[in-house]
Amino acid sequence: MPDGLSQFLNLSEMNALSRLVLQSRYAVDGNLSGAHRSLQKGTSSEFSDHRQYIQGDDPKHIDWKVLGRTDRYFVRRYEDETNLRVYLVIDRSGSMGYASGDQTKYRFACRLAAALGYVVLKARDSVGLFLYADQIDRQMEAANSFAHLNNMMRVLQDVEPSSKTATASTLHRIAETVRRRAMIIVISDLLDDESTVVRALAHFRKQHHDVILFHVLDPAELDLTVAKAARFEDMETGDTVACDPQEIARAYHDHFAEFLDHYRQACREMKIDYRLALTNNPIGHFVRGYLSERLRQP
Amino acid sequence: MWTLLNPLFLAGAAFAVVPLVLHLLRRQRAVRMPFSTVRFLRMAQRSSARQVRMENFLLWLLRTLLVLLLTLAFTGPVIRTTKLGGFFGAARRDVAIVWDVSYSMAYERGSESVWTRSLETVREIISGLERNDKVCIYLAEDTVSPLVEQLSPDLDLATSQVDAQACGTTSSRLLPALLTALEALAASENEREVHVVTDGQSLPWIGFDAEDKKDATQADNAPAKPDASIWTWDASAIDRRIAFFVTMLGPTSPENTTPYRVELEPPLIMSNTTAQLTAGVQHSGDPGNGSIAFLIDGEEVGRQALTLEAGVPQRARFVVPALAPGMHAARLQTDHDALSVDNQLHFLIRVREQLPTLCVGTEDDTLFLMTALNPGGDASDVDVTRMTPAELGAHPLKDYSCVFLCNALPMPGDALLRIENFVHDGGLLVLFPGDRATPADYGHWRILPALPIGVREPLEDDVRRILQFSKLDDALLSTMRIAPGSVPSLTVDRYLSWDRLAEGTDVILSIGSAEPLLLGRRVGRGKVLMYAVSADRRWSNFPLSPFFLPLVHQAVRVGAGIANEELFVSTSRELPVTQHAPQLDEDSVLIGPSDQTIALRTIRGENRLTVIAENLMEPGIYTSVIGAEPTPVLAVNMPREESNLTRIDPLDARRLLGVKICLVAESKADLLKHIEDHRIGRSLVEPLLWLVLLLCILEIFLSNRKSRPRENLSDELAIDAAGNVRGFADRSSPST
Repeated sequence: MPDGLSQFLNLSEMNALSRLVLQSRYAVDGNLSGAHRSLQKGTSSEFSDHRQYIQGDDPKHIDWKVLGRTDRYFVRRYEDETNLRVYLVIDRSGSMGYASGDQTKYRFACRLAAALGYVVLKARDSVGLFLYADQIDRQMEAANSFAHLNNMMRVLQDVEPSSKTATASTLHRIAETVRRRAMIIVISDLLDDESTVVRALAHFRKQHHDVILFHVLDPAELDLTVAKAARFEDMETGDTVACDPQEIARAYHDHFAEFLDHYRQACREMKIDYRLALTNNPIGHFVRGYLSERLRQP
Repeated sequence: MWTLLNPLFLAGAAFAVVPLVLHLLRRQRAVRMPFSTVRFLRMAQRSSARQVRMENFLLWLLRTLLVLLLTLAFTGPVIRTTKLGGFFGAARRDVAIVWDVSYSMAYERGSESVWTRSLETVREIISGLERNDKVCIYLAEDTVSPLVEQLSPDLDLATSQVDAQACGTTSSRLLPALLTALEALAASENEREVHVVTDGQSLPWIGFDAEDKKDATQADNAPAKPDASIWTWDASAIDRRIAFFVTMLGPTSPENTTPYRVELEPPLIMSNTTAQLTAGVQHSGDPGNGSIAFLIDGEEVGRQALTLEAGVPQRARFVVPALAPGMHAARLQTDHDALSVDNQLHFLIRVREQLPTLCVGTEDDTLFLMTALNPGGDASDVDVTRMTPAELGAHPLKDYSCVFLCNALPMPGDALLRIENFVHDGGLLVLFPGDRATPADYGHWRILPALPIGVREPLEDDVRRILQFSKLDDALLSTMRIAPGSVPSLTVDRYLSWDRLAEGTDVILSIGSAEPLLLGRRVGRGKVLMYAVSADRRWSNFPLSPFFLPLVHQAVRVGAGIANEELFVSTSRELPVTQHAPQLDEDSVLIGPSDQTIALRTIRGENRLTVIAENLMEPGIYTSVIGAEPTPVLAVNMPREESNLTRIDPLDARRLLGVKICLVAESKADLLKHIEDHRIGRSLVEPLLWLVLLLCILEIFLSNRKSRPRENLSDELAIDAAGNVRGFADRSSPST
């Protein structure tokens, strides 16, 4: 019985993902030396700027050419490179348990998290986890080991989607939790009040996090492809609505499109990567497509 | 009135609730289905609720209607026009048939004629009647002829009468026949029907419209409309329960060409002279080409091509060759067409060898006149006979075309009467006064242009009078030529002075400024000419003047043609033939074109004998044995106004009748359908089934529209492999 990471990704998918990189668009604040730009001035070969010499500075950093031209002591400063800390924020509310096919939105979210975590670790970066529904159910700090990733996956594996959503409040709490600049990847169906969720995302951006939003939806939610009239029961609240999808499809599409557009517009304004992830998409194909595009448009 | 043939099927109306029940059941059977969120479903439901409700209501309405209409169709609804007939079986029915038997019914249409169709139609109308039903039949000709005059229950007799009927040779008028038919139905208490079987030409419908009648009386050249003033159609006075069926069996665009007019110039043909004949041809239908032939005594003497156009009369001119004296049967003949009965126009050409003239007076009184009438001796055209007034006695005058009276008055009363009849029948009387008569002797005559009041003798210096031609267009002066610059004059010693002129009198010649020399007056078909001076030298030098001889000769010629004999007559049931064929008397035998003997009867009145021929219905030449040889005496043709085939619009026919129930059919099958609809009732099953089909199509359309697969939102959003949504730009702004 597969367990942990292998529960969500097979070997061929891992192989395909191993050559990919998740690059942060902004400078991040890591605790290890890595491939990402750091806020710290440090030891890389990339020149940053000059600073007036103060006592205690290593004389080897004095810029002698400047001294010769100006008779003043300046030291050369270099950009530091650090590792990336990526937090996967995964929604496990009741609505994530919906599946029109053989894969729930929650499982798709887990697989997406596994794939991204794998890519992050392969780049020697750290990955952490926030699992939430109406509150943060599980929190794992970012770490740079496959064992950590495996443990994260086990946690996800053991959880079943349930209870109501409180995405906005939870995201605010996460934002307060993650103080240092990091990459926040939110994987949710966002079935909450759009405005409050958008404000929560803005909270992340205010703290200079690099935010990626994966909006996970089932194709049946999007297209309302239910053939017969039925009494629909809300998976979170238990409310029911009796209707014939054929009759209201047009209006449903209009409202749903408005809902999506609200997120899309807000994310664009906040420079958040917004991606619609349909559960019928092959996960490897989707992640590869996204990361390739992100590399092309840093 | 409604009747249901299978009312038990009405129970099926209960199925009308099936759509509603199914709809409710469907709602109740809705399965529970977990869904991520019902938020958007609720929003969509709210915003489209009105439209959904409307669509559902429409579908429910359609489906319920379908069930109801289908049920109704199964019950066999019938609209009945008879109120009690449906409940108590067939009602008694009285039917009047007006049958157009004009010759235009002989129009060939396909393999059979309109007449054959009309015969079958009338027979069908009769055979469609039940026992105890009654029928009467009237033939619409130029008059009304009853075929079955009173309502009769003997349908076999009516059928045999119909079978024996032949197509007529006259035109037709429907109005008198219809009024007669309505009169026959007036006393009936049963259901009444009037059937008009016609070919659909507009001519028989003349007189129905008050405006039409008014126009007819105002128009100078309008065709004759017999009895137009007698018969009046008042639709409001007709019982609204009487059903009128009009069957128009003729073609919608008939074509016909017919010779309709013939003129001879000069009208008087002598044996040694030629003449000109002008034929008129009329055409109805599409333009085309044709020809017309002119035949005399069966021999074709000329043929001309014609360009035919509807409403444009064509003329063809032929030369009448020099013919032997006597009556010649002639005809004009056009090419064969669908209505062939009117392709021939028969007429008679009378060729004279001499002009018989009677001169009454003593030898002295008629000396100048006799010389003028026969100036060259025996070789003259004028065959003149002279006798004294006393010899006139019972001498027959009908062989003369002109009678001169020279100082012949006073005369016995019977002689005067005979001369009056002679004038009435188309003879010319020329009166020369004389010394024998006093003005009172003229007072017995009613035919004179004016009554003389005395003899005037001008003074010696006033005897020379200028001769004035007062009426230059008179036929008498047509050959008169006056040399330019010359002033014709007469020496008048005595002349008659006149009282006021009689009505219709013309002053043809005058002496001086105001004294008439010659008066003319038409009387009957003839004419009276009266001179103011005598025919000898005692009164004036007129007999010696250069005008005397031409005036006398022209008088003889005018007298020969004064009756303006008609070249042919129209078919008629009763015709006074005396004026057309004066040779006929009470002992004559008239033979028709098919060698049938025509009945003649005589009416004697006012010292005159009038011969009346009955049933001159066959067109052609009628002969009589005069002497030893059968001689053509009468040419009979069908009246030509019927040949101008103009179809009446069925709507116009309905409008002209103006009755409440008027059904117009254009074939026998149509008529039978109308009769069935009227008597039995009109089945509504077929229209109902058509309506059901229409509603089915509508229901399918609406259902399909409702369940038609719409484009998926995921397709509209065009989500790429990386999760980018690219379709928002193309999508219209979503509704809120």
